[in-house]
Formats: sequence, structure tokens, C-alpha cells
Amino acid sequence: MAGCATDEILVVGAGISGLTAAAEVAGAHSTTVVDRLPVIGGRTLGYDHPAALAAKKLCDGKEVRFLLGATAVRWSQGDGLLVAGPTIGIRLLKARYLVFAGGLRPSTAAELGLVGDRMTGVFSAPYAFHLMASGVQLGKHVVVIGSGLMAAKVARQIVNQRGALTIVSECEEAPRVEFCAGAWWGGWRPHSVCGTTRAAGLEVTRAGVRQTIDCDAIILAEKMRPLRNIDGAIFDSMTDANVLFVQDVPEETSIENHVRNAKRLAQNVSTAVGEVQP
Amino acid sequence: MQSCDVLIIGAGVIGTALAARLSQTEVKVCVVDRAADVADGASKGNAGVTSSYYSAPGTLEAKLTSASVFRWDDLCRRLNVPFRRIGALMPALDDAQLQGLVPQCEEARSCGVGAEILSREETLEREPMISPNCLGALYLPDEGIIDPMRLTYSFAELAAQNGAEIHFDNPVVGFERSDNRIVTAVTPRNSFKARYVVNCAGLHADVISTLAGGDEFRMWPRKGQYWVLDREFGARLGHIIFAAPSADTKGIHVVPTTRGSVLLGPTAKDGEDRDDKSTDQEMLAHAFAEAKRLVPEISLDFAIKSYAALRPASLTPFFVRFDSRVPNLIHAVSRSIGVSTSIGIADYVLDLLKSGGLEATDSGRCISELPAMPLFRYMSDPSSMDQRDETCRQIVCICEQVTAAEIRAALTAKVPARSIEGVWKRTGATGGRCQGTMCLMGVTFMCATHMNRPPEAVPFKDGAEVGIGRMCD
Repeated sequence: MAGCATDEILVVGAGISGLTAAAEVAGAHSTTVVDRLPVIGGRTLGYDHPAALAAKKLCDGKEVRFLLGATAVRWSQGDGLLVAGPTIGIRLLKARYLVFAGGLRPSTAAELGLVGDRMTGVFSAPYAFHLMASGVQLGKHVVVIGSGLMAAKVARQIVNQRGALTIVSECEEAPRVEFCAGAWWGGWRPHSVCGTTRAAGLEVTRAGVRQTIDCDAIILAEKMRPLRNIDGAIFDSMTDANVLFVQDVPEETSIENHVRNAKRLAQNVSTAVGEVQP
Repeated sequence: MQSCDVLIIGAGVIGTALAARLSQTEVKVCVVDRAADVADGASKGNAGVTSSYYSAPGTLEAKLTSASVFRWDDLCRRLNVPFRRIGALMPALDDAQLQGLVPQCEEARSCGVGAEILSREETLEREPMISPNCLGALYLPDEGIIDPMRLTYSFAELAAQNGAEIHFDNPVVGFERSDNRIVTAVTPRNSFKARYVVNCAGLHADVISTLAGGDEFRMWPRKGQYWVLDREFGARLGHIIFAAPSADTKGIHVVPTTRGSVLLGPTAKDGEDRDDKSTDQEMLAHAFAEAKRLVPEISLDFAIKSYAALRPASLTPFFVRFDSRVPNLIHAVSRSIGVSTSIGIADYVLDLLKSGGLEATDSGRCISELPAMPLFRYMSDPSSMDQRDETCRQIVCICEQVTAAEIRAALTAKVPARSIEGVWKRTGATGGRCQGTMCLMGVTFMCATHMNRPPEAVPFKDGAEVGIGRMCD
């Protein structure tokens, strides 16, 4: 059964980065790819994108095994990777190396230094995206913090829902066409959330000046950072040498860049594995 | 009109502990709370420490802390509440603090708990994360950490399963009295006829007393701000690290939580607004700087969240007694050590009620433990758990390792989660390092399904719904 044998390398994440990295290392080392979703493709591309399918084909050619629908939860160098899934059960996968390709997420309120009460109406962008995609209207006047792809995705949904849109970003100039439909607060930094039970305003600052933008929903889509959620593989500084992260791609990049970056990082894996088993 | 023997006002840790205790007698108990869930005040925002001692012996708070301290292991096992007796260290960073440890050590010992002064070397050997600038430390091995929200929920759940009635969204707005005695407590939705009333309203205890025509005292909110650091950092810390107290404050502590994260705080600032739980950069910076003096490796790179909580302050910080004017009203007011004294307060109030004439024989039909529930996060080998139910194998919140089975249990309990925050209080889901970025959708849909509502109408917290409506296209 896939993943039962001791693999040399476990790749977590079947997005473009994980698939590319797996194909890159698999020729020389037994490799299994694990993903939370029951399909390949990840959040960037989706399961049917030609680039994802091409990368999957490369993996198949190199006998990469797949364990899909398995959520990776804990890593420890001695024991391996604890995974759980409705179909595959709760299991410990033995492996020498963990390659984590979990993609990016926006910064949380704490990571943005946003203060104020913690209240209803402040949404992380992926949560807001899924809510709006299922028809939920988040607010009449929505502030999006951020100016990248993720911000553009939610901005488009807000406009489609005929909500009033304001974008707050440290960028001076609006970089994307989606932002033309809203009020652009370039160069302003979010400072605190105001309101009692529901968000009623976002206080922003710029060069010592403070202003409050009235709103009833705030979406956090700023400062994308690596999504890390496996115990034992969270901080670069605290993680053992057998964990490699394939997550240093900026949010706005081409698929070619994703592939190039993943290949480059996968070479680090090959080198590392090679040190143990020349 | 509801009718009961004892009406408890407040579903915080003290009110629910009392409800759980009374539910094991033949007494008919009702609990009312203004909020929509248990643990909505100080019971939510505290550091989750079960103190082994708090003040000099002889005071009631010392007595009730002592009455509780060695009962946590058994209680938490019976109620599925995460608890670990990890011990605390209070390092001294200067000579004055070092001198101050001696009387504290004596005090603790005279309260019957372990206490020992460690040299600098012994301190650093026991806890290498403590600042090398320390001159020694007070070691309190009987201190523990607990999940205070799960504790409060579990007290309430036990009480409810034993037949106690808990009514949320029922703020007491008045009392009907006869000969100074309370006859009925009135809320906008209901009225509760009661033989005895116990005021466990925390920060609002003064309002309740005034409404009842009882003793005059004043409570005010003391805001405490906290940082939460990631579990990966917390794994390296083995003890609670207390700041040596100064004349005016107990200081900023570094407290591991049962979920593995670390709290830095609380700050202390008195205010007037009983609903203002906003954080500010100045106080958070202060909390961080003070914590870093104790544990130099602390860095905000590990921060996953900051929050503020209000704890009740009053001139008399701790009193559990009958009101002097209203003969069937008892006040149970505690500052800072509600969790640590909750077991003791429950027994003490029961004794007060009996002394006041209440017949309270222990019931033969009650339960004293909740069905065991495996919690994925706390299992060293989750692959060994019973996996027959597929929701046990489905991780919803990856950061906090919460399964669909745990969330379903929270939503279908006798005292169920009725909001996303309610799920968080009972399970920890959405409260981890990504702050719900990846799991809030799943939690929202599970809430929607169990509450039979569309996702936009799922309450997030404080009754406020996730969305304002639905787009029809």
C-alpha cells in the first residue's frame, strides 16, 4: 500500500511546487506525495490545470506514490509523519526526509500588528473567498487589506456582490485592475479595528496621520507568508535538518517560476539525501 | 415562570462549578447568564493556571485555594479537561526580589503545598529557558495549567446532564422581593422563582447586588492584555514562569497552556468600560518586554495572536458570604483566582446554603463524570484510537489538531456551542497559528449544518452573524 514502506522522502502538498519537487527527487529516492485534498493541483492551480497534470505525469513516470486525502499533522525525525484522513485512517508514515510544499497564506491580524478588539467581521482572505463563493455577503462596505493576487480575488467578488470596496495597502500605486472599482488607500498602514460586536471601522495611519475608514467587514489579504501547520516543521530556525520547505515563491509569479523554484529547492533535497546515502 | 431551589447568576467558572456541585444533590438548580455561552467574561480570558497558593494562610481565598489544589487531577480526568501539574518557577532578577522570595516560600509552605528556593544553578538546570541573569528562584511544584474554557464548559455540561437548567441570553434586570428576601429574578425573556440566589456574576456582581437591594460594593474592569506564542516555541518551556510580584502588581508571567502555546501577560490597567476588550500597541509592547526579561529567547516571530480580557477588580478582592441585607442572597466574588478556587467555592457555597436552611442531600441518580472523549491533540499516539467513526479521522483544524468528531461533540452537547467562538471554547479549533485561515470555512459549515441555518447566519461571537445576507444571482 502506498506510503506503508519506509520512504526516503515524503512530500506534503500536491500543488505545482510539491509535484515538481517530487518529480525532481523521485528518480533517485523512493518518494510519496501526501495531500489533504483527495486530488492533486493544490490551491494555486486546481486539479485540472494543464501544468498540474503535466507535473503529475512526470511523477507517474518516476514511480512517485500518492496518498491523497491525508492531512499531515506531526513530524518527528525519528518517528515519521502522522497523517489522518477519512479513508486512509490515522497512520504514522515512516520517512527520512520531509519536503513541505504547503503554499502561502495571508498574515493574521497579530502578524500585521493590527490591534483592537477581536470581533465579528474580520476575515482572513481564504475564508472570505470561500464564504463569498458560496453566496454569503460579508458586508455593505468591505475593506480589503492587501494588494496582491489574493486581494484582487476577493476584491472582484466584492464588486460582483455590488458591495462598496476600499483597498488599504502599503503600495503607493494600485497595481491591479480589480482595484479600480474601489477606493484606493495606497501608502496607508492598517492600525486597529474599531467597533463593538461587529467591525465598524478600520483605523489607518500614514506619516503620523490617523484616519478611520467606516466599514462593516475587513478582509486580511496582506503579506503572504508560508503556510505552516505541521508540528515539528513550523519555524526554519527550530526545525530539524531533515525538513525542507518548498515555499519561498512570492505570491505573484508565473507557473514557470513556481516550477523553476521548486526544481531548485528540490536539488537541495537531493543533495541532503545524497549526504546520507551517496 | 421557572421555579428552582437555587438560582445561580453567571455561567463563568464559579457559577458552573457551583451548578455542577449542586446538580449532584436533590436541589433544583437554574443558571442564568447575560451572554450566549459559558465562560464569556474573566473565565475566558485568564491564563489557565491552577494556583497552589495565592496569599497568606488564614484568608478565605487561601483556604479555598487549598481546598481545590489537590483535586484537579481527579476532576479533570472525570470531566475530560486538559490539565497538567507542571510546576512554576518565580525567578528573582535582583537582590530585592531574591529577598522577597523567602517570605513567599514560607507562606506557600504554611498553606501545605510544595515550595523551595533554588539557587541560580538549580534554577537554570531545571528550566534552561529562564534568563541567566536570575539570582535564584522560588519553585512551586504543585502549580498546574488547565484549559479554563473547557473546564467551565465541562462543569456546565455535567450540571446540565444532571438536570440543571442553563439559560443563556438572560440578563437579570430586576428582582421581585418580599420582606427583603428575593422571590423572583426577572430577565427580559423569563422570570425565575428561587429560594436562594447565588451571585456569581463576576465583573457585574455589583450590579446584581444593587438590583437585589443588597450590599453596596463596586466592581470595575481591570484589562489584561496577552500575547500567545506558538506551540513550537512552547514545547521548549517546561514550567510556568511567574514574575516576582512588586508592590502594586503581580507582574507579567510566561505561562504554557495545555494546548502547548505560551501566554505572555497579563498587563493590568483599570478602566470603566465593562465591554472594552481592545488591545493597544503600547501595552502589548510592555507585556512582551517584561516577559523577555524572564525568558530571553521569547520573540514576536513566534506570536500567533494577541488579545485583551477583563478581570473583575474590587476593593475587597475575594468574598463568599451571605448578603447582609438580603437573607437569601449569597455573593461569590473572586478576583484573579476564580479558576483556582472554583472547586472550593462550590463546596463552601453548598455549606453556606445548608447553614441557611437548604436541604441538600446528595442524589443517588446523578453522574459525576462525563463520557471519555479522545482528544486528538492530547494523544501521544492518535493512530491507536478507536477509528471506527470516520469523523475521528477527519482533521478540521490542522493547527490545533481538532477532528470533526470533536467539533460535532461540541455542537451536539447538552450545553452546545452556538457560535464559532463556542466551538473554539470547547475544542480549540480556529485558535491556532493560522487563526482559522484554513479551517474557519469547515467550522462554519459544520455549525450551519448542526444549527440548521445558512452559513451567513452562523453566529461568530457575541451573537453577531458571520455575514449580513446572501447574494441572489
